[in-house]
Amino acid sequence: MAQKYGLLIDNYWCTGCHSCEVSCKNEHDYPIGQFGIKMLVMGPWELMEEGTWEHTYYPLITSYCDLCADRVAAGEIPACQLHCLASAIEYGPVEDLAAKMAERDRRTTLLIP
Amino acid sequence: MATYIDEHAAPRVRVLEDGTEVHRTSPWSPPGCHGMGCGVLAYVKDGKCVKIEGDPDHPTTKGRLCVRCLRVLDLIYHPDRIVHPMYRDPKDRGNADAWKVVSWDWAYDKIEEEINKCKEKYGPNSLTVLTGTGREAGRYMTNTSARICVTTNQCYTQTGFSCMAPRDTVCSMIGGAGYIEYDFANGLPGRYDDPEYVQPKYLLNWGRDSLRSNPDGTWGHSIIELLKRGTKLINVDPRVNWLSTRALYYMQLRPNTDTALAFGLLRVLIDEDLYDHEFVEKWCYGFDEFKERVMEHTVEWAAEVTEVPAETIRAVARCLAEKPWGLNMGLANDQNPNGVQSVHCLYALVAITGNLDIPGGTNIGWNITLDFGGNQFDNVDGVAGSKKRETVPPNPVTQEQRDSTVGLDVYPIYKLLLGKAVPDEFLPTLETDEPYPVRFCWILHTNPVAPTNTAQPSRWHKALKRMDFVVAQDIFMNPTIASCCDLFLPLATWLEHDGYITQLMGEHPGPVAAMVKAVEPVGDCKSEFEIVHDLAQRPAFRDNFYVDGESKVESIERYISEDLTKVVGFDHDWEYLKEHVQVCRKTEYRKYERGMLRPDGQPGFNTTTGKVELFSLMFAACGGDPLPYYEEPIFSEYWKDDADDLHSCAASRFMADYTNEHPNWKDEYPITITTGARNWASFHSEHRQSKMLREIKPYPVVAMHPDLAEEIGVTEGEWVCIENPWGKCYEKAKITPIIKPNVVMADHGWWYPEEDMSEPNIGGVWKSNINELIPNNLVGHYGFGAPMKCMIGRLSKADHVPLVEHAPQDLPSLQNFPGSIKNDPALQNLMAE
Repeated sequence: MAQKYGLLIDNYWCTGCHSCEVSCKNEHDYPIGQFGIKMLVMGPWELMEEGTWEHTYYPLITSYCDLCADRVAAGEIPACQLHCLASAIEYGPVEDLAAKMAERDRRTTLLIP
Repeated sequence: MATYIDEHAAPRVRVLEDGTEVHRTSPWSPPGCHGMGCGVLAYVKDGKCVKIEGDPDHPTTKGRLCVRCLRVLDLIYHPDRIVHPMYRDPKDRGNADAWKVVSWDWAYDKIEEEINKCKEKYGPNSLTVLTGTGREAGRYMTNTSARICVTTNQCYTQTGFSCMAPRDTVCSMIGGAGYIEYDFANGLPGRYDDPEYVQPKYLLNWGRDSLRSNPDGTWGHSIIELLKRGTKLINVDPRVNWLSTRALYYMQLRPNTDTALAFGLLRVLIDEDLYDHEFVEKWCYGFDEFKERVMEHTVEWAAEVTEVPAETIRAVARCLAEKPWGLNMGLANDQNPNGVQSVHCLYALVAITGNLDIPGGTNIGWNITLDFGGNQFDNVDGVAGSKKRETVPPNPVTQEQRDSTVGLDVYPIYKLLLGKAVPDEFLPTLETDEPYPVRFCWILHTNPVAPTNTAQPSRWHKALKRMDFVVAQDIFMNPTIASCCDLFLPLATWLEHDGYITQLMGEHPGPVAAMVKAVEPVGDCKSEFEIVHDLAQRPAFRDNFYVDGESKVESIERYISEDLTKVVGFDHDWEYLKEHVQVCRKTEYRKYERGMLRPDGQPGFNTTTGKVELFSLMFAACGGDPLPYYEEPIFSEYWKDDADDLHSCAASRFMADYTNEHPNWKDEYPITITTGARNWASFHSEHRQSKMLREIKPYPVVAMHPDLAEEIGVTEGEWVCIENPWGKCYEKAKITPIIKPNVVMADHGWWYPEEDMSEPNIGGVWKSNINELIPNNLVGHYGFGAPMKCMIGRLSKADHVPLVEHAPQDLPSLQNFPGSIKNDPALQNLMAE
């Protein structure tokens, strides 16, 4: 079976800057209203323990995400990874990313198109 | 001191197989941003920039780039960008259809004619140059004001000069050097892994939303880098913003009570003997008096005033006893009439805990190298730690002009770093001709009618209409130019001209970045430098730019090279900088021990006493209290009219009258309004022309607690009327629990380029003009700090929809200016969309 690739997102440190969305649109020339990756937000709300909060950003890929096949073929990293201000996106073989994910102690998602 | 480069970085320009050139460069403005100098790759094909990406070789940003740069081509090639000089008869001001294209020569003739006319009619200081927040034009503003207009009435229009200058001035008064900033290893070749670096234990983030704005030219996401590596965050903000949710402690203080919170922390450090005795004894002056002042304030008092629990204050103070920690001190300290005192306390907090200039601590900056207040500094030698050399001939303004600069007699502190007109005094001058008329205005890089930095923009709007002649430089038509200006000079963007950027205005180490022209300017646009250069060739101004027959502005290369000599520790010329794109200045620690702060080369600080003056001789010399003190925000139920001469200020004098006349104001206006929070998709009043950026942030919002929303009967996204005795405006409800029920946070900077640009609409600028609610001259004792983050008001559901809303892709344009890209047949192939 061919090696599968994906994106590992460090949601705990994602600051919600929209650079993944816009750089993806730039790369693929997607118009307004269309996305290859779109940031959703959980919260903010206060948790039951006073003074603690839920507020986490979740960039999620759409059916248009091709993991920047052209860039990767040219030896570059995906546009969203390059531009992410919080360096919270990592592209790679799913197995490697899953191994990294297993070691994380914070909110993390693994996205596979 | 040394500099270093990344020897493995890609060449400045490389050419791809299809002929596309890839230029490494750095942005500043226009379009506007703080002078951080992020790394950008500009892909240029057939003379047009076709793609923007982050530059992985930039030593700080490493390819990361925010949405404002990622969509900059929307602006550079926007159909409505003005690319030819335009003139409109002053009698037609406000008529969007009355502009005609003129040549640069015609424009220069007109400028010269109007300058002469104004001087003859009204006197030598009857001209003004208005400036905005720290943009690249700041490098050239003194040339425009002092050498072309030959006036000292250069004015940064923000009420209370509430941006950076208060913080910078306090740092120079107390510490005798530049701004203090947390150490994020920006000037170390190995960055966070450099052997000289120590990981900070804590980052104290105080009133600064760095992530969105790279404030003051620092790299905001260095916070995330530090936190990922284990630094703990302590966040101070009236909201529980996202950073607060990632903090070890957050302190959700009542707006503008910062000084009280700082006193509480200082009290714990002194009470529990947690401060650094060795540093205090060796390097601090006036600790006993300072301590006595601190002891007048209890932790419980601070807790009550700030609404931050006493146990949190104690816990945070105990953290700050552990070295090293960094201070990230922000704009909220400037936009506060009591802000000079909060900065004084915060400087002291860093000093007495021994965190000044240690690895991983809070670094002492060199003096500013941006031409911040050139009138005062021009040709002044011996500025500490700097070796500012002449890049231009002696300033031709007279001492009489300097002495008559509007407002300097009222606020002598403005003479220290700034030497320019005091904004809150200058507005009445424009309105009344007192003490003398000012009737020629050159708007260099600001938009004072938009709700960005002026108090009561409608007063500036009326005042500017009194001018005989107004010239403005920009890339787009904006409400100020549309309503008040006669001559539009179209500017080249950062992709279209050479320049350079020093992070934090040259005060801190790290990359000095080259902005390298990647494409020819669209149409007839010229850079700020070129405009100065062209005017300097004219007989009327020539003598102000030539020494011994030699021009000091003969070329941009020469000008930048000479300007670079002002950058401390940077011994390279433009050619070298341009070749390497980013050249880093190395961090120097413990400069006070190593004789690196004083002109005499001796150890110590460059103050009268050679120490950090906790008891400030400079504040005393400026007619103030040498020690910090807390003042209750004027719009507070706890405010009392109890200030003596040493502490009274324009804000307290205003409030004494206001409460007498309106004793029940609190019942009518129960909400505290804060403004000025930053957005990803815009820089103040700019970027609204980009549809893709409007997709991220289509309209202004006022953030409010669910309880308040319920009380006034609004739901998410509905239009809300925000009003107080001085004005009203409309923004959309954003309902969020992160803000207290009696506080709201209203967006600033909004106007609507898609609307009619003629009077009275002028881009809908009055619809969401939150600054209308801020009266002029509610400033602190030294003329610094206005309560832009602590106003009063009431909110209600809007009784009408104030504007026609459009989906971002459907935003129309009614603009049809003859000098725009869309009206130039030769530029159709460049046009975006």
